[in-house]
Amino acid sequence: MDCGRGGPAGRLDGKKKVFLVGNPNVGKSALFNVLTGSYVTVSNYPGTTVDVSSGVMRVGGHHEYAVLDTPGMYSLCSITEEEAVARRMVLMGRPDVILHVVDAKNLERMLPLTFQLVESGLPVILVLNLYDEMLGSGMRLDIAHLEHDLGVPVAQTVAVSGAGIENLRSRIVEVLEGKYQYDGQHRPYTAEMEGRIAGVAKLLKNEHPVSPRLLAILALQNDRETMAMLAAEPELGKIQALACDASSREAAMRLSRERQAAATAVVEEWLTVQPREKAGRWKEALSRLMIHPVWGLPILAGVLWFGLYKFVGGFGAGTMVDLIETFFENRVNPGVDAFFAGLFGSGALFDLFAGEYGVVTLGVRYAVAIIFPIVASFFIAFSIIEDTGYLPRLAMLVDKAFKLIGLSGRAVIPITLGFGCSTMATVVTRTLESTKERILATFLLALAIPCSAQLGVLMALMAGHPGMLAVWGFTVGLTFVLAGFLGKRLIPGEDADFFMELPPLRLPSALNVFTKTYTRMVWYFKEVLPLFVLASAVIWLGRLTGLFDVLIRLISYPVQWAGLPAGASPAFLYGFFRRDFGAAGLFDLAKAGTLSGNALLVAAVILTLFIPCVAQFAVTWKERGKWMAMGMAAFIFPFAFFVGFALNHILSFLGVVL
Amino acid sequence: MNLSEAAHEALERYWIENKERGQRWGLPPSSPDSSAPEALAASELAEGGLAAPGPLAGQALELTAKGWEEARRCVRRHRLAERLLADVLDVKKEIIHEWGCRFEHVLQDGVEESICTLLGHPSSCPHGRSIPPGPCCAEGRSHARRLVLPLSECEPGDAGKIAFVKSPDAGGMDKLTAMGILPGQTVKLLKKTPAHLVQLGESQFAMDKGLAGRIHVRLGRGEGK
Repeated sequence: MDCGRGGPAGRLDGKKKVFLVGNPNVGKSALFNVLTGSYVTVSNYPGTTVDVSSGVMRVGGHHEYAVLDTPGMYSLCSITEEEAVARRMVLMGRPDVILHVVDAKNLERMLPLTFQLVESGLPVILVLNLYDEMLGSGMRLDIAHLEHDLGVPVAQTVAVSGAGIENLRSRIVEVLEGKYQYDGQHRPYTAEMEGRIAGVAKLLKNEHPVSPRLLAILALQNDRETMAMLAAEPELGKIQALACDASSREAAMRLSRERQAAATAVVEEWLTVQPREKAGRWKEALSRLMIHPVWGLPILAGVLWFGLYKFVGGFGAGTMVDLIETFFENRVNPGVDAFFAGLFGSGALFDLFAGEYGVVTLGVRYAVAIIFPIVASFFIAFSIIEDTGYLPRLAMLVDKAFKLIGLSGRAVIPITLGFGCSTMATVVTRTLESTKERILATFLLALAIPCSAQLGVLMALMAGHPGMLAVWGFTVGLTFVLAGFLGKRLIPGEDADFFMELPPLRLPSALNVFTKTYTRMVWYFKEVLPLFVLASAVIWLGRLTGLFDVLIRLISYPVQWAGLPAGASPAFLYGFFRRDFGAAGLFDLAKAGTLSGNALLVAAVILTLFIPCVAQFAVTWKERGKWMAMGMAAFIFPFAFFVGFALNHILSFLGVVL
Repeated sequence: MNLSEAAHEALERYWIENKERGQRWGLPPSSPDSSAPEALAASELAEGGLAAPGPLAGQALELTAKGWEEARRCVRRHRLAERLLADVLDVKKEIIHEWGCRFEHVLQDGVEESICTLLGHPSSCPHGRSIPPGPCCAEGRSHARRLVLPLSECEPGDAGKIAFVKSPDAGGMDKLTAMGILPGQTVKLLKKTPAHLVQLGESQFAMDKGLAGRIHVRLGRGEGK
């Protein structure tokens, strides 16, 4: 089974599997949390569950089930890579029960997916989540009749408060232990469609994880992945003849319409709406302001100022870094140096662990003293912003501007996240729809988006030089825009459409923000810290073997062309291993007074544009393929130096001395 | 009046040459022994009282007042048919003209008016030539709104049922269909800037102009008509 990284771990083996399936933003992840009691990213932003989370649900003393949270999907016809992951899990993951989680007040729109899931022949439980919001908007639902009509258990829940969860648990147990008379009713299509479905279904001879009926329906829509699942069918030729004719798109449309009509009929029967004064009027007003083409901008500026500049820049990168860094310099490093000096003397082994570039004194110190406070504060700010539902509104606000550089408004999420950690942001580009947009976003993240760790050090470097900061920001910003502008024209493929659901604005809950930050930090340290330590070790090895001396000499040529002292070369080499290593190297040079103002600026620009850190490179390789990763690297390396070179000459031509 | 396809063609050509190109063009003289389609058409029109010999050289026929009226409606039906094919049925540009010829016969009186209203009383065909207005147009233009129009041309506050969703050229499952945006659902346009914001059920969706332009809505006012 392929359900992306972080799929079911060994501890889930042999347990019955419960899948959470549903639209983005209906509270699947929150439900997962209350069912399993374990940590997972929960958010108010459509599509943040990039990887599949799994956990164990315990009921009573002797029932243990594996619970898997799938990425959001709107229907069984996948559009984004994420939806493809969710769909593959349903079609091939052999769940023992599927919880179809829906936003209760949007039942009519979400019920067609319930029908599709029931068609799979797998047991389904319909979970009406956000039930309080439904009641709040004046709707009443006759659940007993709905349950009878659908033939599947229906449970109402409010995942964030835990209401209805005990009932849901017992329904799950009922179904899994065979105590529920499960009788999922297929919604009949029109006679003509039923005839075509039956025609394909009776040709299916092999054993499949889902019903022939569902496979036939998907095949009639000429769904590529379904056709691949059917590749081993003995009657493949006949199936293709029936399924893949020119009317496949029309079939998809008709089936969708018929499902929707059935959903509307069900909802009209069992749902009553009492019109009432709409609550949350101020939320609606605030939402309008956020997406207002004029008033939206001061709100954005405010969010950036307080969220990024004051909290991440001031508190995280300033106060916290100073505190922890001072602690390391005064308390930890001397001790570590003394300890390893006592152990190994002053030889190569000492350098591995301690001294200027040691695994402990450099690797761990940077990870704990610089990266941890900056990244943690960024993730806290990002989680709060994300949970309010602001990001989709920001996406809508910037869509038109982003279109100019070949991205859709949707890309604002990975790009913003890139200011925290470009590596994580590169993974999140999966939520983008077209290949072109994914390539472009990955490229821009690698080139022109400095991550929070790097930003922190660069800000500290240029603190007190507002002119330098302005030129740096302008150059990097211009590079970002020009690269996007050219990328839009040079990368083949259609420009991306923009389509996004705006969830209601919600007040973030402290628990959710904590859970999410925690989960992200765990991810960060699991994926990134080892690379950190490894990078220190590689630096040590490179220095020991003399390989680095050769590389540094090579790099010193472009470094000098860009008007920098040759002594800055090591910073760039280390910058390859982690961008912030490079920045921190510059920091040391600047402190020692060997860099002029202009040189510092040029170096900061080159480092910002420079080759991504090793972790991001690895993720780009994985997500976009090795040729794309190496191609990007081959471009960005010389290009960063070229921009530095050009900037240096422009500055001296204009006689600017910073 | 039941005219042959060739007679329709001849009427349309007469309209285009004389009305739009400013030429003096006459139908070939009717001669009972000629089997050329144009000549046959001309005789058919002459028999119906739509054409008569005029002052043009070579005994060429000219349309009578009744003939002019028929020509005008012929052109109108043809071009409305072309608009219908292009806007609603999304037929390829290259074959629109040919299909327009076949389709125009379907648009008999009454249906013609409904199609014209559905399309919003268009003033030109997909090739840019003007469509002679019908009686419905004068009435329709005073309302100044079409009955069915893309969301991208609606105003904030407009609501109605989705009439149809135009597909993009690329193959595969359509995104809007997959997201559950289907004909028959009630939508309301909330905002047009900075992007289109659409209320569907209890949810709000933001989309760009391109996608909004694919969702065609039958405005609430025209419901039940």
